[in-house]
Amino acid sequence: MNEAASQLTEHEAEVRRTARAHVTTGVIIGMIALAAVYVSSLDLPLAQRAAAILFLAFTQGFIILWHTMHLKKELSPARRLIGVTMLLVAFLFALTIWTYGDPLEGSKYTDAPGVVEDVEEER
Amino acid sequence: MEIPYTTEPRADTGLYNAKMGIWLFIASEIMLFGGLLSGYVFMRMGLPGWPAPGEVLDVPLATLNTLILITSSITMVMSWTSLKVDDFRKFRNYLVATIILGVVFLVVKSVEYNDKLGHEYYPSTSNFFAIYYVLTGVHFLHIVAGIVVMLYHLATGGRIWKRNAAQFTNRIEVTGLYWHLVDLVWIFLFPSLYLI
Repeated sequence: MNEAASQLTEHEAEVRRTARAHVTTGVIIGMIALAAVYVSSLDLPLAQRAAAILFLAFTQGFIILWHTMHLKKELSPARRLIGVTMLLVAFLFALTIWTYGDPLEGSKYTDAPGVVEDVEEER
Repeated sequence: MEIPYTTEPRADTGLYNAKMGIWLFIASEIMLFGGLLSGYVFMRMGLPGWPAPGEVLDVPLATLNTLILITSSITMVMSWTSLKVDDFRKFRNYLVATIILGVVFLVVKSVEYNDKLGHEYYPSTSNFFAIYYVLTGVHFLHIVAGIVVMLYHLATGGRIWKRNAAQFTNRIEVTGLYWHLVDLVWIFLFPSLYLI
């Protein structure tokens, strides 16, 4: 009886520890969001601003995925599933950025019919 | 016949059915938003005259919404941990708090939409507004869906909790994973649209 009671208390203590960890994680994510807003307000060149803000966003994303969504504790199938998906999305991003270094006609968004005229009109 | 692995994990995957399902769903959602964000990068890099941060969008309002969503993620986790220690009353309170925070997010977003539409910024106004309305609109719908699911749990939770507490706890965990995903998506939309 005593053993069962102590096990329950241990379980409760573990759950409370988890809850505290989640609150701390939430506060850290909030602070990083505010830091990103601060960086955005600085007078930085676009490339530097984008790099700094994206670094902060990816840090937040990693913390949410790894700790809040417990991916850290999951076994390999879930990790592999998310890992491969993110790799494919990263590939899509890389491809998008890479095509802007590609001189082939039609590879740029502005090559689409009508877009150049619209852009010039906006100017 | 009883459906296997509704509460206990399968030995080979280490996951129960619903959790396997939600991870698959999350993977598909990453593809959806990854594609949309890739479209954003595509247009952003190819077009001159992109608005500077804070030029047309309200950064303080969006920052407030970010903090609201992060707080709702915390209350969602707290509702799940309350069930883990068999405190159904606390679970309800935390779930109600999560729903309220979700609704507040939607209200703030609606205020922002209303302001933009009032200034005649429509999806057809420019490429920036087209991608802004698509990205935030799809995310808005995800928040609505999450709130509907949580309201369902709030309405039927008591009955299911009495019948099978472990299964209900798992349902809340899975709902929580979806809610964290919605938070995760916003964590990337906010800097992409408002801060860069």
